[in-house]
Amino acid sequence: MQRFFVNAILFFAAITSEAIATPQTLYINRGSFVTIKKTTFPSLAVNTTEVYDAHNAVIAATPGEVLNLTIINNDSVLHGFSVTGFTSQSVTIKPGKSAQIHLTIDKEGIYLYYDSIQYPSFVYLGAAGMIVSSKSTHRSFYWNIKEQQASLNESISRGGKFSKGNYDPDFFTINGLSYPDIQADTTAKIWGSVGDTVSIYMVNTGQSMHSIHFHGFHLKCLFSTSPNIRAGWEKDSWPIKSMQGVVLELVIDKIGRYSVHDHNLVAVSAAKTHPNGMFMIMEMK
Amino acid sequence: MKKITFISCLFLTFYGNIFAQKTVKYNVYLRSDAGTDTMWDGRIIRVYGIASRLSEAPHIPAKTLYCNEGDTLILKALSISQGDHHTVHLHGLDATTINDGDPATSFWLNHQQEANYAVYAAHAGTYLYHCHVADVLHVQMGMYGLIVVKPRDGSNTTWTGGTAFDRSYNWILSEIDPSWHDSIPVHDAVVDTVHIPPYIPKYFLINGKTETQLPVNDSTVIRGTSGQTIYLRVGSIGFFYERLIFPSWMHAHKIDSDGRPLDEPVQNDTIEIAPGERYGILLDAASNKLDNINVEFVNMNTDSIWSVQHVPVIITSSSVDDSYSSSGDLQIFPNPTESFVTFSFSKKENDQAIIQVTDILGKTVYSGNAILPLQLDIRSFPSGIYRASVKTKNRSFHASFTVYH
Repeated sequence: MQRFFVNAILFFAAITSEAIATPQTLYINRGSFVTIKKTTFPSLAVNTTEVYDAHNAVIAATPGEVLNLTIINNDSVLHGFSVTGFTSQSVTIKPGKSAQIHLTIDKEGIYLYYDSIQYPSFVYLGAAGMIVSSKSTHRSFYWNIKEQQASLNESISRGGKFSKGNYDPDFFTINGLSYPDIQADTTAKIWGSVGDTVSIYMVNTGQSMHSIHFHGFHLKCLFSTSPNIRAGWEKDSWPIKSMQGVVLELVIDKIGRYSVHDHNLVAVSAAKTHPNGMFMIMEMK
Repeated sequence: MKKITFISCLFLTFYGNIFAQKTVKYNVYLRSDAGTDTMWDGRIIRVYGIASRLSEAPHIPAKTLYCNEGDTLILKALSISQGDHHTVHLHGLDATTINDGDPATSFWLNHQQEANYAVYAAHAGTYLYHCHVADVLHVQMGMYGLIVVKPRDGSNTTWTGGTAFDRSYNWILSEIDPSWHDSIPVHDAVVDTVHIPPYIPKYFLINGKTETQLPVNDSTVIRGTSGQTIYLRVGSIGFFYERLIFPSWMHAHKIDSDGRPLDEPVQNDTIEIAPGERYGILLDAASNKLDNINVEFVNMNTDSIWSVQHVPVIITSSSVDDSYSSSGDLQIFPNPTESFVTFSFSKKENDQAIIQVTDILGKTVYSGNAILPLQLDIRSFPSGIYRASVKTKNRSFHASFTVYH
């Protein structure tokens, strides 16, 4: 009984300390993405308020929970909403209208939600994020990794379509932020003390592959949506393809500061300046 | 009882001496002052690199470093960087912060500064080492190599208690964009900051070699005797990902990655590897075969294949002679072929050979001189049967091969 209460307290402490609520209402917002270089380009995001924020909502669930989501299209064009593994429940939403979707998340794991209209153009613009389902009480971190080519965002926002033909992205982000700004994102910045176990939920909502290398540690894969990565593997470098996700477990066995970055080192840049991209420093105490 | 105790102690002492772990020390010279590599087309590329002697110019890749599981590995590094800075990152060995070689969290070496990077090699496997200062540039310039941690007893097994193998090969995959080497981007005043040009690689490397260099490079060509098991360690350090396509008869299966065994082998003729990853792959050399392993280099952003490199696989019935001292018979493989064909002698000959290829009507479609092996691009040849004539100083050979598209 005592153990139950301890676990319950740990669970609620974990979810409140990371400020990851289970949102019931989501807004598809259009806004202006501000880069690390203070330049801007048009973008989409899925948020828990009607204010655009490049950091897409993280939807947390526990196995067995039914998620009743209301999605409001806060934009001026048609949008859609789908979840990997639940595509039969996809909805389309007219401008200013809303739609509901009910998902029974019966297993632990990671799922991607995304805008299914004009696929993948609106996903490319930013309308994609993660649903995580876990019973874990470990401290958790959430990485939505993505790259963008500023000129292509301008083109798509004017009615163009995404094409991989000459795709050459110039901004690489975690939760919409590049290094060093990402260090201030408490949902992403990995930290802990020796003896801690932490969970890292990672999705790639970009269109490129990203190969994320952890300094100082091997991590264990708990769940993977990628055919290239299997649960149970222990690795230090994780190749995540477009619209795939993994859940990783890190056991902290030493103190220090350790980098995590895309080992396509070109992606550790912003507007061709290195190191400003997909890069973060972990702090182990 | 005393006798048993004595024998046990004797055994343990003996056993302990056999597998006593040790400190393995390498000198590494981090050089951005000198170094060139010659590509398959004769183009000379300016490179940075990690040399193993002070008098040695660096090449791509750096020498593969070895130790056994349980050893302490120390790299004594001296930076010959002129106005630049360097470090050594022990990629995947989970070093402590001070030994991690990451200038964002640890120290860097100025010109003529030296330091030791030390790590306990806890797990057998394949690792990388590379400079981490302005790493996008210094890695592109060539400052990288492989580290192989063998099992505790140094034996030919994949890890302590793992699968035994007969032969092993180490491949490190990368690319070169010559424009970065012709006009090296200048660092900002901030040590790790560099403005990077567009990345448009032209050379796609396996152990620093490419195209026609591959069939004549002993470190890349896979040789074996029928019935043997071959263990291929592969690391990727470029900015593309690679797709290794093995002949189906080799029954390729991944068994370890990033220095850890996989929970179960994954059998697949096609194995992808991304920047920073390493895989251990077991290959069967069941019977006499001449074939190719094709390595596709794939753009991370577009998923388009920019290059396919072809590495010969030569499995013979007689034991592999690595000295290539005597003459042998002509081999043409793969046959049939759709893109490249390799002419090789089963035993290396040092004499120039005159090679002539004619089509079914007797028209010469290729002629040239070379010391075999020679890899010939036949993608422009129409489908059909071709006859090859190869003459050396003392002997001549004739054989046919088929081209299909």
